[in-house]
Amino acid sequence: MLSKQTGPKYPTREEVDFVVVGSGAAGGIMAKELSTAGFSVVVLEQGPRMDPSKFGHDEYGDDEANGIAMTGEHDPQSFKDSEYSSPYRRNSLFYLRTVGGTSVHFTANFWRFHPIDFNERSVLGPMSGTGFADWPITYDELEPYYTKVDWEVGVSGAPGGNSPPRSRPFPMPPLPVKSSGVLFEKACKSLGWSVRPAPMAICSEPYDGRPGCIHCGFCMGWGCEVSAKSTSLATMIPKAEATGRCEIRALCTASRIETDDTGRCKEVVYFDSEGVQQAQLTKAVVVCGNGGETPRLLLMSDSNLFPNGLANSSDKVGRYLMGNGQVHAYGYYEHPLNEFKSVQVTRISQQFYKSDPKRGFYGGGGMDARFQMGPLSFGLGRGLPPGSPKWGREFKKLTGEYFNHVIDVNGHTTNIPMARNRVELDPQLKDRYGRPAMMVTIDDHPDDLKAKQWFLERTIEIVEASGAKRIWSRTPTPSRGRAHLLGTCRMGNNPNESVVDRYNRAHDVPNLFLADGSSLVSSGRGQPTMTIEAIAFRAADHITQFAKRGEI
Amino acid sequence: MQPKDPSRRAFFRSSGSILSGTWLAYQLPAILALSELACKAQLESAPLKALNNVEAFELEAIAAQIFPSDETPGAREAGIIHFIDQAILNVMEKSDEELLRQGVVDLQTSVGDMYPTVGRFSALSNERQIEYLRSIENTSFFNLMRTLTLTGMFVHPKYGGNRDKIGWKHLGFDDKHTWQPPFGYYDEQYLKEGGDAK
Repeated sequence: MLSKQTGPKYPTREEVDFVVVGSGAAGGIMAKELSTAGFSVVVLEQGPRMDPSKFGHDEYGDDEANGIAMTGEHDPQSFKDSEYSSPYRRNSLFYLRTVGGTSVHFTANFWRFHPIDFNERSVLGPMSGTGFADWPITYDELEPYYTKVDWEVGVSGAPGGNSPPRSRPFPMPPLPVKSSGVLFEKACKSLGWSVRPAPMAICSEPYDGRPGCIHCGFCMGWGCEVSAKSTSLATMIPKAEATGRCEIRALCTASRIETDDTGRCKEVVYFDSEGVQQAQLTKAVVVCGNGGETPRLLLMSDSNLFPNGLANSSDKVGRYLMGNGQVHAYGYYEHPLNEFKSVQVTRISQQFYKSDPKRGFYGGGGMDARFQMGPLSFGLGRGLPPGSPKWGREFKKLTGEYFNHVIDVNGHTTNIPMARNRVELDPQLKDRYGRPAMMVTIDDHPDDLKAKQWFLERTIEIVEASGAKRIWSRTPTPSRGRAHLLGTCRMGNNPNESVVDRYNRAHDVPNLFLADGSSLVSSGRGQPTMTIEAIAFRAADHITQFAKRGEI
Repeated sequence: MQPKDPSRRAFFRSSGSILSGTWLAYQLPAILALSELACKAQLESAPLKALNNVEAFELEAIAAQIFPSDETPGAREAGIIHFIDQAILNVMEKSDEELLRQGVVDLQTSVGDMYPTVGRFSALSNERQIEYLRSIENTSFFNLMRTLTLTGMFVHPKYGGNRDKIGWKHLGFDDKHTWQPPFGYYDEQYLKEGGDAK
């Protein structure tokens, strides 16, 4: 399953132009952009490098990706459900540890944020007791970089609905609609709600040297063995290495960024694949971990000059941890849907994207239709309506009837930034290298649960309007885990209120840049990867200009 | 024989609650090695190595109630008992192994008390087996048996269990991995009605 890196090899004791920490959605782009611009780049990736051609379709056997992602044995976390409670050992932040990062197994929903996501505080006014804030950049400033993601990473889709403005068409048409998409589209139309083909980072036809989707059905949680899914591993990493200037160092776990007497980064300390401590000298550092690992690394890099952690004079590093709410309404249909085939999502609705004060709470969202269970997880009984038998003749009968006849209409919702929701270093718990574990607090604002409940009611309306023979849903509960890791090193103009400036440069450290989910000021309405990648492209553009002008 | 390793053992501890949501397969890799061994055992018709005959009869009878054979094949035909045997040998925590073995002992004691002339669960009538399992369905012993049985039903057949794709055929899952539209009934109708294929 492992494959070899093909780029150059830089000596650790010779200064490179950039060390990029992380090789995922953001890190892959950063590596490709900086090396293409002519800089020498070393990428430190804590996970192994996998060979895409070896990814398969077997629900557990080929799921090494998830094993690497989720195994808490060697990298434990602790969890608090409020700022006042005691932490206990529990992993609540989920991400993939491999070259290509979580993009390797993502579902590939590639929604752009809308203009409102960037200035919502100005539009709606302040929300007391929260970190609700405008971004320092607008949708218009990010739009060219969304377009860059469309064309350089590879996104299929079609405009329509109330989709955000775009300067260029999608490079590929949408993927073929599935039965879930047809039922969803007809229901939305009958309700008078907007609906459009799902924008997906999956090739609907051959594109940029990669084949079109073979509709195997194994996207969410699996690697794509034909590389039709536009992961960093399939798109950016090979291009970065092809420059001859980028070295991807797999199985190298960053543990500390060292600074010199003037407070500038000088090297990144890491544990190599043998567990031996190394340090790569560098002119500048770009951290593209994720909303969990990036603040962790800064907090681990405390020193006399930076007693609260690197770049943390604002005390905002690790705070405002956000994800997205997700709710589920299910429908059972008369005829076979065969949802195990092809990509997870083919239609979405953003009818209720904006928050409406008349509802009495803050919150907006988007919806889609999918089915996301393999035979094993379904067979263990998780796909049946509540109250179904759990074994025996009737259980057997229901599993046979339901597997190919069920859709799951999802609502994806906002998550209000709260200072209390954060990533800290656990004072006791350590990982295998002795690095402090992440201590995570998740305690949502009450409006987040109200938004989930409101969107659950809308998803139920869709299932009702779609002609389902039987309808059921899951009661929304407060979030206790995150797969979207956002907000923990937020971007802003005020150094007292944010960690990085509008160009993703740390306010406190001139040669340190942070560009990943941690930069986001608001959560969007689900599917943040497109925005993470646009931010990475934009940051890379500015970093390149700064470097060429000698301003780093 | 591979040594028991903690990350694999964790599968059975937590599989009931973990197989859901985005982190669908948290522990699934744990079962890979187990399944390969089960496959070998099945193909070679190897005798059971961890379970004695009494345990095998009793546990297989329970598995056959969890996923019965009726008009279509069930746990018996899928080779579940080999899967369980290999689980005990290779990946199961000692405490779970003891739970299984003690479960059989307890089963025989209580069945013996209730039906002295029969003595064995597997020799009870179908109705009495079901009635008895209902009375223990909230025990950790039964839950472990349920997880083992259903996992063995729906794993990839190349690894053991799910013999002849019995479990997948039952669901209507087809492991042909390249498809073309139309995929299901409603998108096929949609195309016929002149909807945009995209």
